[in-house]
Amino acid sequence: MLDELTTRGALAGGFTALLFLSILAWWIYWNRRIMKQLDQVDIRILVTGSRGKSSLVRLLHAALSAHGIPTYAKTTGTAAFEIDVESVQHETKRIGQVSILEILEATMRAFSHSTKPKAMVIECMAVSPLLTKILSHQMFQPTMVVITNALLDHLEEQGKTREEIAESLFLAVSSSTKFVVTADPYPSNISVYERLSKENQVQLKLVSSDEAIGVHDEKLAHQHPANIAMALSVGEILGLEKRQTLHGMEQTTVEPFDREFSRIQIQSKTFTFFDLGSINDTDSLPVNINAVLKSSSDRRILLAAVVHRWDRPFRALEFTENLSPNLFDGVLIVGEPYIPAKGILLQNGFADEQILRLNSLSRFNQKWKKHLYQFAQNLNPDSEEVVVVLLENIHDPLAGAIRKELVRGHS
Amino acid sequence: MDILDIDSSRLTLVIALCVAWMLYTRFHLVAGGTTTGAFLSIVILDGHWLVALWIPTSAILIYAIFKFILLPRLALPKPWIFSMMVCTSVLLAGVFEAFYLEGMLTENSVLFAIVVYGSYITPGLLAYDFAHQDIKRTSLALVAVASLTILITTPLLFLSSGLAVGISGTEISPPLFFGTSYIWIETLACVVLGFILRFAFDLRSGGFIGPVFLIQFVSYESIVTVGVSAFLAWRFALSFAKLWPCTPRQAANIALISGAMIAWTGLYWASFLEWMPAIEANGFATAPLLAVGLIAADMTREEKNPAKVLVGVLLNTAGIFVITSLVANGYAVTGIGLLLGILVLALYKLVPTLQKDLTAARLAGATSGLRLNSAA
Repeated sequence: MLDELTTRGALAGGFTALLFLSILAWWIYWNRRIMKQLDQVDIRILVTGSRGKSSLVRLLHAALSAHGIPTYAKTTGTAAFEIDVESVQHETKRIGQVSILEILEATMRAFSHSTKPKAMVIECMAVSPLLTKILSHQMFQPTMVVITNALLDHLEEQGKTREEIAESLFLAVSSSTKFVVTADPYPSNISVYERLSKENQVQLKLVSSDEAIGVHDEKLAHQHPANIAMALSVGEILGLEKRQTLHGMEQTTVEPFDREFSRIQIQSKTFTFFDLGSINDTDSLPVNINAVLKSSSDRRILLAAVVHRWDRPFRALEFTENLSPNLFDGVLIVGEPYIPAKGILLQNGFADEQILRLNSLSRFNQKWKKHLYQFAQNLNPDSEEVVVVLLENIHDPLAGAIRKELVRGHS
Repeated sequence: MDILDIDSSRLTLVIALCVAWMLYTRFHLVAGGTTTGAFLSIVILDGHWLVALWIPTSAILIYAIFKFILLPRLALPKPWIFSMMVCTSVLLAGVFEAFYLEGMLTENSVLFAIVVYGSYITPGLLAYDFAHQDIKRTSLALVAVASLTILITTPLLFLSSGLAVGISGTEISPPLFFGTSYIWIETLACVVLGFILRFAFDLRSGGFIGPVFLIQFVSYESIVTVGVSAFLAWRFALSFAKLWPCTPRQAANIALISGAMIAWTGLYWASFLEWMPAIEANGFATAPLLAVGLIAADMTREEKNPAKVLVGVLLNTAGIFVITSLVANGYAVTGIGLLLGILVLALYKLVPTLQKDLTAARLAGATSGLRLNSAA
């Protein structure tokens, strides 16, 4: 027996067991340290919902900071940012995939400052119900949850109706949560929140955009009234003075690249690109498209550039179905699935010549500008202005390349 | 070739799984799931250069087939695409194996099972991460896992070269259950049946390939032992993840590694104590470790009812057994027909559900936002 313990096989087993236990021990140490740090944060606000999360996180950070509460905030999305206790914004560096582990890493960074945070405002980055539960119930354990709205997005994971999505978003409420704030405009969603709040014994605070009337002045003009109303409500729950809260919100940091557009000239036509790719639900499109239309002439050609992701097929179909030939003169399709999307467009009244596919190959041969010009020329040779609205996603590499070259390069 | 013995291949496997876990935890990078880096490390350390070259080449080919031919045409959920990529991987490897691997490895090679089965599955896993995570980051992760593993393993192998080999070193690797000519149908049946069980019956069955490893050393004793070992690993991973919060991927990988460790320890010492079923299973270098680990990893995804995974594994194993037996006994058309028939029946059940979901997504688009706005 003793001889066997010193053989190569037994020692190999012993070494790997030691290695495995070492990585587990490291995780326990790292994890416990961060959970202890989180315990020291009195105000932990988790912002979830379909739209407006990042802006609300920024508003809440500004509002709490204005009251002298050291606050650390984190937004997510393709470009994620953290705002530290001194209101300095840092981009979250990502090497690999987006993961809920970023919450723990952000907490570690928050505590690396000499001023330790007393409040943390985090945008919920989990989409699937399971991840939402782990992030909220096991990791962040929020004292307050803000649900901006439940709109038709992430149909693959969260449900096919607004009510199902509302139910999925409510999983962000953990046993540590005392308050839930929402400005969801849909009565059927409100019923879901009311029922679940009762079941979870949390206090539900319903607010409406109207509550922002009167305070929604010039300095806060770029903020959505519903977000202002929710931020004020959070301030009220925390016992913060309203005027100071509003004063803080006026200093809110702005999402980089938000509301950007650019113009470039391709031969005889001026192409104006508006980037609405961060809007991932169809409910929020009209107000943003109307803003785009207001800033362009009536004689322009309006093109939708839908950026599909193969791993979000339901969103691709939802967005494609949402496009109407009454509004758009043509559609550019980037990414996959292309053929089912084209089928829907044809069914909905678009003609074949109103649809152009920009695939990855055209990116490599750099001919897409030529294709785009020719496409617009075929649609209306006389029109000199072409407005292109990037929709649905901002993740496709080709869309990223277009964005990099046009939207951010030629403003 | 045949540089690694049973224990050193197990050493390489577990080290690579630990490295892959760390890489995901610290940098959120994956390299063809968790096992591809381990497989590549073993293949390189054992000198199977053709197989090492085959993995990325095949993965790029699969990625290209999907990127340029299938994905533009298919609006399917991610898990469906994943299964289809692995199926393509099996079919491509079947052709590769028929032309290139035949005779290259002997059945007595200690690593035969993992080298051949791995070359069937891992390109599909890698291609999926190429599409999902992107080629650059996936390649970087794969190179990182393989190099770090080799860097840790090589000095250990050198330092331990003078030591007695231990109980596993005296084992002679037994031949594969069905022989080398039927690996393609075993693997294909496993992947297809796994897909059907998961999507039509909500039963997981030990990753894409767990049952294929199980079938190599199948017996009443081994099924019970694998089940109990996987259960213990699942319990450990679940308790750990509850105490120290983990992502589902981290928890699954803890179950995979602990399952492999439990299987290794159990086999080693049960063989030492001369328990016959353990001695037989111990001859398969990494197959028992992966069988237990993959089943335990799937169990973490069925937090409330891990028995469902065991049912899935048993059904999948039985299916592979029936289909491969038919093919091996000269009833190839019947065997393949049976597999395709089961697939068609399952799709008959699955497609309407999928269509309903796709219609719901279209309806959501048709009744919201711009559509309403422009109609008005």
